Amino acid sequence: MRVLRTVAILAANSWQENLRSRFFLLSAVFGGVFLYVSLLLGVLAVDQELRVLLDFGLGFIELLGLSGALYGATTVILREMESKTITLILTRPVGRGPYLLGRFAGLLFSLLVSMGLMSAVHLSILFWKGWAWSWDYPWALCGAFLKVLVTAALGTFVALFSSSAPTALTIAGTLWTLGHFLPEIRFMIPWGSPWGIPLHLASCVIPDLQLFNLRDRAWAGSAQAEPAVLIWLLYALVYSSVWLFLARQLLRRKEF
Amino acid sequence: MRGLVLGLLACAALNGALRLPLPPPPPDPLGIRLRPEGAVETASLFALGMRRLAADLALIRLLVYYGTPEEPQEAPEPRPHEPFHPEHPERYWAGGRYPELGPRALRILDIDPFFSYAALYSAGALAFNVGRPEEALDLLRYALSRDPANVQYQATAAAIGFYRKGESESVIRLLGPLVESPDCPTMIKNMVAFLYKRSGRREKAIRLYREILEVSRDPGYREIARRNLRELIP
Repeated sequence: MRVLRTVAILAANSWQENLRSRFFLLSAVFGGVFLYVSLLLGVLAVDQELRVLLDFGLGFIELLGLSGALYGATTVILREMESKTITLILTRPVGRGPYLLGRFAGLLFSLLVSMGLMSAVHLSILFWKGWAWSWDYPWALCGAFLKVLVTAALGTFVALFSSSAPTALTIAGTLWTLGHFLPEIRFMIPWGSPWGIPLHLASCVIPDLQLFNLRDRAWAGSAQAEPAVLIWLLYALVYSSVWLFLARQLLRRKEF
Repeated sequence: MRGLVLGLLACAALNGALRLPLPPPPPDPLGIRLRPEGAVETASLFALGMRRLAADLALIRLLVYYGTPEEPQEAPEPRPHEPFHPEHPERYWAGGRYPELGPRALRILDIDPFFSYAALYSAGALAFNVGRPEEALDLLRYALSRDPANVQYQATAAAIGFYRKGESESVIRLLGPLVESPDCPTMIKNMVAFLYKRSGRREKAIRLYREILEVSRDPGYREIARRNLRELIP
């Protein structure tokens, strides 16, 4: 119970820091700019304005969520390690596991609020343009959040493993793109004879982000949008837990 | 390092377990071909998991292409600005051949096989506006091979066949239900409304022109609807 309380306090502290951080303000400004651009493109798409607005909005909400997740996951803990703030926290009765979990939960909560606010703006534009509500929208948003969750967990591990924020950003960003190319990588395995084994190994460990890509499937037709929510949720939680557990192991070995 | 290996093994087990309830989709039998001018942009959007967005951008390019008067060497013969004709609105901005219309639509279907608007719009433009029904039928055949359950494609293909024979009644019968769909391009609605008007179905023509006026975001077609409504409702 005490551990949970510690995690909650650290998460609340992280949330407050993120709220004060300029990055989240910038992401809100960029969100507004991108939504404005999507309005312009929507006009160009004439009859398909709503589709373009929907796709651009959801896409940019996800991208901004990803940017926030990667920035937070790769910099917060490293910055606290560099500034020795972490020792102030760890000298109290706070374990390294609860510390990591608290920081991660705070980051996730910040992202949830940030993505929620952006989607509120997005939805208000869609309704203003005459869009009819569809339950596919929250599912698509949920898929985007699960992708961000998995990538944030990976980013946290890579940041602690490499001890360098730019390296961690690059690796996590690369894994993000590879995660979307997983069906193509699997398709290439039988064709690329010298690269077959490395490709196969990569396809085994890279997170299947295309699984959560409900945005592309939800409006593609009923046969495409199979509701396997529990499996998606379980996959995201287990995958993230694995990398967070490994990050905790790395943090336990660090000396401050 | 041992921890990293254990983590990778855990992820491999998880990815393997995931494939039991959700086997990966079969590879696309037709493959994807990208247009050179948009290949980098499309591949980048694929990498970000934004396939639909890539198709949207390709559609915008197609609409801009079809909405821009052609260069003199592309058009069969330079024509002066023609008076407006409801069956051929493209002539209003000098007509043209638009040789890239079909190939561009095919590439959009490669990116998003369920983007029926792109197929119906391009097939309609090819068959009813620029006079290349064979190309329109080829496009619809390709669209059907990607989305065989789509009845809109079948109806449009049949309507194009009857249109070539001049059987307006059959065209109306086939395209009548299609215009009720929210995905139906305004161009096809406009043509059906014109056929209603020509065949004396005044009420139906008025209803469809009103719908175009209220729903369409294309100012050109809204203007056409306004003119026709003025004629039909004195």
